[in-house]
Amino acid sequence: MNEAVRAFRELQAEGVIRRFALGGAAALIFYTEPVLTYDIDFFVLVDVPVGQLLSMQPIYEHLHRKGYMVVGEQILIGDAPVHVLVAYNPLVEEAVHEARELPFNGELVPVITPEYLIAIALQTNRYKDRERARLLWEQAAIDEAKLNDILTRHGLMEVWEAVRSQQ
Amino acid sequence: MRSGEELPEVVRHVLEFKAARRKALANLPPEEKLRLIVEMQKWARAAHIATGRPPTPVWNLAMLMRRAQESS
Repeated sequence: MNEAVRAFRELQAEGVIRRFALGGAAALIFYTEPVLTYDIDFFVLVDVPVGQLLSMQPIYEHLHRKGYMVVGEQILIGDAPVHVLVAYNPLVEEAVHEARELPFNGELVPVITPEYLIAIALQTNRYKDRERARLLWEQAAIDEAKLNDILTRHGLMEVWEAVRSQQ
Repeated sequence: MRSGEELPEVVRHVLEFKAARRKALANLPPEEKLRLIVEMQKWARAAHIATGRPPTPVWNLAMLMRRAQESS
């Protein structure tokens, strides 16, 4: 994790990406019991000049130059495959902006907050995402006012009520 | 056992124990949880192989930690 974070901080320092944050199941280790996962998801914000299409190529090229193996859409850091997901909608962009720096092995890691992890899970809305949202609700220290604000602004309150009514 | 029937005491006890255990796991440091994920990956891989399915990946945590220290 630390090595991956350092690689992404370099990407940020060199202007390849604007911001990044850890999301997905790997982020849950900061808030809940561990859940089985096989990859690490980093959400990134990139600046795309007007009129240009978004390309992941600069990110992959940079990491490849640094000696990391790029396999398909994944970057192998040690044996851990890292997925880079460019923030694909306003909710995810906001989640990356609002990420918190949390300590891990003596270093700081930008991690998406539990309120945004719930919102992203509800938006993705597969079975395992709903389970994650419930797990976070049960085990993480959730700021309810903040969660309600995010869910209301992104039109996810109805999904959340449906998920909670199944508990 | 039909839905709506009360669970036997012994089952309720096990469920309460499991709930407390999950709460304790949630309070572990993230570094320790990462180690547990790798252990789960090992069990999942063993189960896949034992049942004739393709092996699933297991992270080499020792290597990851060593590389992280080397690059710091």
